[in-house]
Order: sequence, then C-alpha cells, then structure tokens
Amino acid sequence: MMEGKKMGKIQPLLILFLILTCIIGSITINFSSASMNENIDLNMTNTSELVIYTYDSLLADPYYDIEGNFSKVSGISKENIQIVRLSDANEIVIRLLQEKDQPEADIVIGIDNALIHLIDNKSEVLEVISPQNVNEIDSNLIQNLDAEQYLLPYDFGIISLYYQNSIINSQSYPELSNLTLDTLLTSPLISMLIVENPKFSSPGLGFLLWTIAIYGDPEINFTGLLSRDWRDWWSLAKDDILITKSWGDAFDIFFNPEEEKPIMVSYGTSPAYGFCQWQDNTTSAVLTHENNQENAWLQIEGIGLVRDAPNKANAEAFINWFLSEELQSDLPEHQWMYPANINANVSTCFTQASIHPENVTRLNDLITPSMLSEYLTQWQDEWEQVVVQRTIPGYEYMFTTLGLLLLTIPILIRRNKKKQL
Amino acid sequence: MLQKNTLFKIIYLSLPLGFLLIFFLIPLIHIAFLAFGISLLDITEFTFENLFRVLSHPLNQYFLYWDVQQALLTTIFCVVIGLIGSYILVHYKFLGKTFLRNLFTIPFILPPIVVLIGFIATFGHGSWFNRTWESLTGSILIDIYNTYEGIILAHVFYNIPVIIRLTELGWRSINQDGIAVAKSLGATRLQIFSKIQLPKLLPILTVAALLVFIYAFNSFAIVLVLGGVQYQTLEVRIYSLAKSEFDFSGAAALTLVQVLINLVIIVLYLFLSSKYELPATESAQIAVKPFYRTHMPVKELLGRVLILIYFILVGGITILPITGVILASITSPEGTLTLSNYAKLYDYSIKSYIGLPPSNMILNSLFFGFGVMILATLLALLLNYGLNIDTTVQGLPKISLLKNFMGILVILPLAISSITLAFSLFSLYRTTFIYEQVLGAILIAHTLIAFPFANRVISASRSAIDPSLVSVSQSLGASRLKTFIKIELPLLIPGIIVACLFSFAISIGEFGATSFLAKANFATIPVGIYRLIATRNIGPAASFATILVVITIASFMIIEKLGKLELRL
Repeated sequence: MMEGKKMGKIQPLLILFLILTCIIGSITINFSSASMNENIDLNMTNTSELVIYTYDSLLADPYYDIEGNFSKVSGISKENIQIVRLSDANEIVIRLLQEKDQPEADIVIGIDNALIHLIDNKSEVLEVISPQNVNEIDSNLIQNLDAEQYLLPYDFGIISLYYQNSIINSQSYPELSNLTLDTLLTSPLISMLIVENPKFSSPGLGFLLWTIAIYGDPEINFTGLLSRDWRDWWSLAKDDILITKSWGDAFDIFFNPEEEKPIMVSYGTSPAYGFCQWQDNTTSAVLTHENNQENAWLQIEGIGLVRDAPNKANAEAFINWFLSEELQSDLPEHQWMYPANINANVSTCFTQASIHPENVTRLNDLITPSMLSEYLTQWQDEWEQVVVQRTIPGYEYMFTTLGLLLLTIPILIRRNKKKQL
Repeated sequence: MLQKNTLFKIIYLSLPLGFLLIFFLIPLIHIAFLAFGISLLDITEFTFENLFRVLSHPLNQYFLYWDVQQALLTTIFCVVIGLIGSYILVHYKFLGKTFLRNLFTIPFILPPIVVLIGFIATFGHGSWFNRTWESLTGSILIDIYNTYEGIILAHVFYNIPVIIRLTELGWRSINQDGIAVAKSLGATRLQIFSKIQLPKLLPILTVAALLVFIYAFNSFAIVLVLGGVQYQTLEVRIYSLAKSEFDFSGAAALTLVQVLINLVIIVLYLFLSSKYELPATESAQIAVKPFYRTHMPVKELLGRVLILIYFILVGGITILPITGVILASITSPEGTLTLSNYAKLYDYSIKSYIGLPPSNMILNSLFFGFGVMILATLLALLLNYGLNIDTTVQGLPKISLLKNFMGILVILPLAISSITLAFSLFSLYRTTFIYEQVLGAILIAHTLIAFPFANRVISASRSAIDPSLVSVSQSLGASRLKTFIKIELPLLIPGIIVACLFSFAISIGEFGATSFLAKANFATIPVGIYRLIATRNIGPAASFATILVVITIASFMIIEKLGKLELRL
C-alpha cells in the first residue's frame, strides 16, 4: 500500500516528464527538419544581412544567381542574403504596407508604375534613394515611374499579346495583322487568350489599364481613346478568356498544348526568350491598332529601399549593384525586359525579337498618375465585379428551394406526430 | 483524497485545455472582435463598418448566395444517388459486395487535393476521357475549369460515401416484420416507403445531409482551383481577402458570417443526433435478395439491369478519379507509359514550378504527420483521463459543468473551417515567435484539425474499458499508474493506434490551413500539388498525389482492421 501511495504521488510528475520530453523531442525534430530545408525562414530573423522581397519570376529563366553574384561583389556570405519570392507583384506592396511599423525587408523589387499608386504615402514605407549611378538610369523612366525617387526603375517593357505563330498567324487569323480590342473580341482568338488577374498580377493590371485607356470610363468622365466603357469589353470577353492568378501560371499553361491556349498577356520582349536562347522564332508579340496607331501600356518596374530597413548599408550597396551597368547588361536575357541603365548592353537577338516601347503609342500618357492613385483600387474591384458572372438563378433556384423544403421535412413530421398523440 | 484528485485533474486537463484555449478559443474570439474593429495588435475602435462594408459588397453577397446554393445542390444529388446505393447494398447480395462498399468509401478518406487532381486527370482538358469523346464527337464532353457543373460533380463525387455509409445503417434498422405485415394487408410499395421506411430513415438521412452540406459549404481546394474568379466559396473569399489583399478586418467580418452559418448547421446536427437515437449498429435481420437467379420474371430482370446501370455510372464517377490519378502519374503527355513523372520528383528542375525541391516537401509533410500524430493523440489521452478520473475513483461527484464546457470546446473545432482556424491563429500570433517559426504554426493548426477525431477514437476506446477492472486492480494494491500501464494501456493500444493513424492521415492531406500559414519558401505535398495544378503540370502532380493515395488508403485499411471507420463527427 505504501509503495502504491508513493507511486501515486510520483505519477503526475512522471506524466509531466513524459509530456516535456515529447515537447522537447518535437522541438528538436522541428529544428533538425528545419536545417534539412536549405531555404528555411529560421535564419531570416537572426543572421540575415539582407532581405529582399520580390516576385517569383525575377531573373528566373534562365536562373540568375542573384545571391551568389552579389555575394562576390559585396563580401556578404550567400547564405545571409534572403530573397523572399512572393507569388506576384501585388503582394510585395501589401507586405510592405503591412510591415510598415516593423520592417522585415530591406529592399523591394518589382513595384511598377501602376502598383506604386496603391501606396498612399510613400515616405511612410520607402526612403528616397540616389545611388552613385543614378545618372546612368534613363531620366524619362525615372520621371514616369517616380520623380521623387522613392523607387528607381531597373527595367521596362510594354505589355503585349504574346502568341505561338505556328498556330496563330496572319494566314490562319487574318485579323491579326490589324488587330484591335474590338476585333479580338469577335475573333476566335479570344477563346485562346490567357489573362492574368489584375488584382494579383502586374502584367494583368497593365492589360486592364490598357483596356481602360482605350475605351475610357464614363463613370469618372474619362474618355480614353474611344470614349466608350472598358466594362463592356470585359463583360463580353469574360466567358471566353482564361484568367490565371499569376504570370508564371499563365506562361506554363501557354506552353502546354493540351490546354489549347496559345495566346497570353505578356510583354513585347517575350519573343526574345525563345529566340535568344534556342533561335526559336515560333513566338511573336502583337499590339492593338485603335485610331490607326499601335497602342500599348508601358510597364516600368522599380527597386526601392524600405524605410528603417534593418540592414540599410547592405541594401544601398545592393541597389547600387542592381542598377550598375554590369548587372543591367545581364538583365535582358534573364529577365526578358529592357534594362533601365542606358549604358547596359542589349544583344541584337533581343532587340530583333522584341517590340521597343519607343516605336509605339504609349497609353500611359492618357491615364494620369493622379487618376491612378484615385481609381486604381476601385478599378481592380470593379473588374472583378464585371468578370464574375452573376447569373440570375434559373433552374438551380428550384433545386435550392427543393433543398430547403427537404430540410424542413423532419420538423413537419414531428409536428404530425405530436398532433396524432 | 478530494484534493489529490482535483490536483490530478488539473494536471491532466491543463495541457489539452490550455492548448485549445490558447490556440483555438482565444484566437477565435479575437477574430470576432476583429470583425468589429477591435484588435489586440492595432488601433482599436468599435465599429460596424467592417461588417457593413463586407456584407454590402455585391460580390460577397453573390458568393454567399452561390455558396449556399451549390452546397444544397450537392446535398440533393448526394442524397438521391447515395440513398439508392445504400438500399441496393443492404437488400441484395452479390459477388464483391464488400469490395464495392469499401470502394465507395475511398473518395471520402482521400484529401480534397487528391480528389481534385484525380478529377482533373480524369475529366480535364488533356484527359483520355475528354480526348476520346472529342475524337468521337468533335467537342469535349465536360469542361471542369470555371464551370458550375465541374464543381458540383467534384463535390458530389467526394460526398456520396457519407450518405451511403450512414444511410446503410438506416436501412438496416428498419423493422422487417412491419413491412411484411403491411404487405400482407395490401399496402403498396409507395405506402410502405412513405409510412414505414422513410420515417425511420429520415433522422439519419438528415444528419448525413447536414454533414454533406457543411463539407460542400466549406469546400476550399476544389473551388479554389476549379472555380477561378467565377465561383468562390466563402472559404476561398476569406482566403483571398486575408492572404492576398491583407484586409484583415474585412476577412474577419466574412469569417464571422461563415462561422455563424456553420454553427447553425452544427447545432442542428447535434440536436438531431441527440434527439433521435441514430442507429449505430445493424439491429434487424434483413432478407437479402440474390442479385441473379435463373428464370427471373422480365420485370425483375429489368430492375436488375437498372441496378447494374446505377453501379456502372456511380462506380464510374467514384473509381475513375482514383484510377485517374494513378494512370496520369504513369502516362506521359504523349500518352505512352512512363515513370518519368516520378523521376521528375527527384529532379531539381521542378523546383521552379513549386518553389521547393519535392523531396523537401515530402520531408515536411512527414514531419508534420508524425508531430500531429504524437501531439493530437497525447492531448486526447490527457483530456479523456482528466475528464474521467472520477469515474475510476469511487465516491466522487462528476463535475458536469466543466464536462459540458469541455464537450463544447472539443466539438467546436469541427464547426470551424480550416481557413478560419489558420486565419485566427495568424491574426493573433503573426508577430510572435509562434508564427515566425512557421513550422510551429502549421503543426498547431494541423493538431487542432486532427484533435476532435483523435479525441473521439480515444474516448470511445476509453469508455469501452470496464471500470470495475480498474477498481479491482486498485483495491488489490496496484497504484494508479501501475493500473494504467498494466491494465488500461494494453486495452487502449488499438484505439491509440487508430487515433495516431487518423491524425497522421489528416495532417498529411491538409491543404487549406497549410497554404494559408506557409510562407513563400515553405510547403508540404498538398501545397506542391496545388502549385503543379496551377501550372497544369498534371503528370508530376499526379505522381505526387499517388504518394498521398497510397499513404491514406494504407492508413485507413489498418484503421478498418482495428476498429470501425467512423464517418460521423
């Protein structure tokens, strides 16, 4: 009996011990499994000397080793450079605003000339930058992205419709040679088109602004090029186009023959991707020709220094390197965009296969920065409302009512039983 | 004596209770406050503005309506199809019946993301099904992307098993003598059905229907992929509000609406299950008819043919996605047999699609699986011992108030969708080490999801132990711990194994909460599958999913061997 009582006292202790071992055990497994993952977040808070927020496809195809190359230049070890690749550019802005009080990132790469207007007060989240090589950056681009230099341009390109010319060409689709948004709508091409969601993706947003600039928005008395309503185009197109969440998703579907979507919203420089790498000229880019001019939306992507960045000195060195002639010369054939540095080399295969923004009418001049900052979120929201097909309930409505009736049967039966009793 | 037991009770209960309180109840209450603009982390001001803004948005209104509608539609189809299926399973005997019944259960035990990939592999654009149809008729039969019918079909396929398994018990519980008497008195079949069979069936049918409704209403992975922009459940809507637009107060307001609807359904469910005694086991002997015999009248033969057609159709939509996954994993885009999809999982190049080498994802999944297995089972054991300690020591009153509170707290996570769970954890702990250490946050979320199931299994096997065994052992001088180790533990082992496997299977297939909490460079197998589906890499996604199929089916085969598979909450 004595022993039993003793054991009784020890018992809770024993169980507590067991629990503790389990917890400690799981924490150790936790850490060991974490160390197995090469790019786990653990060291992010401790040893990181540079944290960068960007989108998933930055310098990704063919892969450019940003960490390794900057490490060579700066001496910061590769492991201590953290590049956080978010799913698309919109998320960078949101993360930046979210972490306003406790910045985690030092640098943001990928906020463009449209998304910048989602930030109400730039001085709250970003710092003005002027690296030594700022005079090498095209001053026009600086003016068009952000004259105050909270963001500096690193690349630019026009949004275009990118297609596989083995399937789509002027023989099979004659409308291609003089394409307008109107003829696109009536052409079979519309059902082969992939568009990125402008709520999440920056080329998708560029395309939305393209349609707004051309058709205008009567609700805010904006005439655009044709003084019509951009909503009409989308509400006619919505049943046929495929909307993806990100540019990367669209790109993979584009190259999957089973999906039969050989045309997508991409860049005027996209054909250079296949051409420079494999002399493959089976893809082309096309713009629309309203009012007898070639119209396109110019996207300028920017790099910025986060306000109160934890590693400010390293961040400034990185920005200087990112805008330098050396890196910018690698940019065209890894990022497939025109470099912002005027001294950077651009190969002939690249210029041959791409549409240069200077050769087209830029729609950006129609939509002023003040309009963007006032209406951008509203446009994104309205776009979703237009695209979601809110059908007036038809036959499904009957099923709904039937279902509700079925659910009430048990109650009715109980009432009957009570009556009988 | 009393004090000692109270002390034990506190010790036993503190862990599971604390866990639920800290990681479930408080975050959930925080969400409710957040919906009214009150937050622990930001500036707070009581306001109805968030609720008003969210509820007055035309798209939110539409998707709320649509969500209810698609859930009802799914429920109706499932009830009609499932009721016929269970009737046949109960009333006829034929070769391979047990096999067929098990086959019908499979879709439900599979993780939604696997069902989804199976669905895409079978009915997607490049599937042999659509390709064959296209070569015959020139156009594809069904387009599952961004269509209403695609989502409904996937939901029906996923939920038919619930109805079949549960209503089978209902059919069996019907008193056959009553039917015989009614027949002899000249009642028609319709009369028998409406007067005898239906009233007996209704309670369990309603319970099953409510379950299906709640699964369809909270569906995430299927609608996220198949619905695109066009169709979104509240779950998907909350996900994109919180995760992509960082509109926390708006997401919280929408979550509040969703939780309220779920609570109504769960309360109705609990009310019905306690009000009517649901048949748990086979009570009546049913005369089974042979499926085929010689010299059958034409009318009967016709009926058999109809049954056969039913099985071919329903069996078709049930089996095809599973075979579809496996088939798609071993076929190349050109249609030849290949193992290259599996080889791709070892290939580093796939990393560019999913952001992490697949081997790391598999390791992550296994890590969570084992972690949840230990945590959920342990917490369930502690909870049950804490609650039941007084039944084993005589002369102490039960503390029923605590028990009721615990009962509600334990059942509540079932009424809360995985996105809500993840969002509430995230909204409260996103600045603390719990979220910084993402692994911890995911582990907690998985444990919360698995816990009710583990608890149910443990509590069932715990209450199956004869309490007199324990008192005899103690009166013979064995200590409480010795009694536990020598007597109760051996009896509990099957239950513990089942709880472990259940938790493991739930964790390894969990998608919603994981993708919500996982940071950009961290993922598990289901998240990897989702990334691959989004980029339409169906082959590698299918081979990834095959791993999950094998693991889950193996787990549930062991569970079925050890005990009964419980589909009920």
